[in-house]
Amino acid sequence: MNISELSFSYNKNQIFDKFSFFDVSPLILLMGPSGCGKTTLLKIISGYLNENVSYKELSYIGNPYLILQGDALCPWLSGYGNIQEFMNMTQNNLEDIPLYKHTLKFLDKKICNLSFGQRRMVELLRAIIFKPQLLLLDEPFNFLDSESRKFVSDSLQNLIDKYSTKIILTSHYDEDLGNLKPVIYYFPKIIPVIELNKEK
Amino acid sequence: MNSIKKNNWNIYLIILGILLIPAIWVIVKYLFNIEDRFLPSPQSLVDAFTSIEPNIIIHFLYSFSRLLIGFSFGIFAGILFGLFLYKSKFFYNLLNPAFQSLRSIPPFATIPFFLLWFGFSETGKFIIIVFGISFNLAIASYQTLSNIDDKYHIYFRSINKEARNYIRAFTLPYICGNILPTLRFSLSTAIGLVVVAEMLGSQIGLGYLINTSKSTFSLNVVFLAAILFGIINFLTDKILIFLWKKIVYWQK
Repeated sequence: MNISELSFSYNKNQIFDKFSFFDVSPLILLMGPSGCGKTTLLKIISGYLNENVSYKELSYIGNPYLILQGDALCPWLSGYGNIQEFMNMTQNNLEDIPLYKHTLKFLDKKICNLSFGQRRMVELLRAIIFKPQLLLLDEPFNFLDSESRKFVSDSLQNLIDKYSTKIILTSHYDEDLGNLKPVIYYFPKIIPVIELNKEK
Repeated sequence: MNSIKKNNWNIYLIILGILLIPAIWVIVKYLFNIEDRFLPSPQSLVDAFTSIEPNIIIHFLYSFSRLLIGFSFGIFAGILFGLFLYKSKFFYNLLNPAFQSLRSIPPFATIPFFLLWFGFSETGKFIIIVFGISFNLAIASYQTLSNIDDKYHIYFRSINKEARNYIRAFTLPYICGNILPTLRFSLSTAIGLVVVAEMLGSQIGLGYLINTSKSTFSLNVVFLAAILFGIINFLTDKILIFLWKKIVYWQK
């Protein structure tokens, strides 16, 4: 991930001002107080936010797959439907994923009948099955109990180990992460953001 | 206890609302002694109900069935057009100017054309309703798909696909979840089209009764037919809401 002199403003508020960031780690955790720009940075990297954005360089490997805090599942389909309708997959792919076995008991139910935590797991499972080269996750462990967080973190680690996926995620709490060992960066408390502080 | 009291009050208010207009009608009729040729009495409506040949229920059923069939085909055609315009940018650019022009023509103004082309046939009446409502539904469907929630745009962008590629799995259910207000509005338009189509080109139906009664100054029949159209409006609106809630089961 290489970002050089990124500037972005929103409603006349300068959020990033010649912001630069470079890291080759496969797993990066961005932390910081609410409203500091974590989600905005993920949206800019994914290309979803491209108005009022300027930069000298913004480069990364692969097409970014972004998951925000709200799910983008189709409530009229089941968990299986949300996966099968939009991508090719085989049964073999699913068995390799720890999170799949954990979600088996509700994957055949309609999304509209699932809890927030169950929806979050289906959304994450869908992303993991897709095997993106760059996965951007905004607070992925929200609404998940500790057991579910473990299955999610194991599945994300699998993605990194087997498919060389790069993952950037945001969270308020680093104790959410289970077995994941990310490189942690802190957003400053005030905007505009110029650089991030790496945890030593 | 408070909610039970509140529910009871709501029921009383609904009953009062239903009785209000007939009550005002009776009071005005007898208090001001208005002649039958200006305001018929409730008794004259009952007499009309029993004396019309064929039975007024037959006329009611003809009007009701024309509305149901025409409206159903109109929904189907409108949503299909909307999906087609969204799916193909080429055809959207080609057909949109014509669609917008046709949409702006008042449907009632087109009735004489359909009567000339199709005569007194039932097909002509169905086509009048389909023409009258499908363009608005098509545009509403297209607009709904043009304003899909950002979260879905983000997802399709992430998998390098577009929403327009998933008609059955995504775009059609998405339209269904957002189009009920337009459907209810189109229902009112469809009822108006049934009335006028029957007035101009039919020999059975409530609209036909209204048309023939005005020439014989049978205001009681006109009133009766209007009340029955009101009942049709009420029933079909309730049926539409009930069925649509079943179709969009994910919206609770």
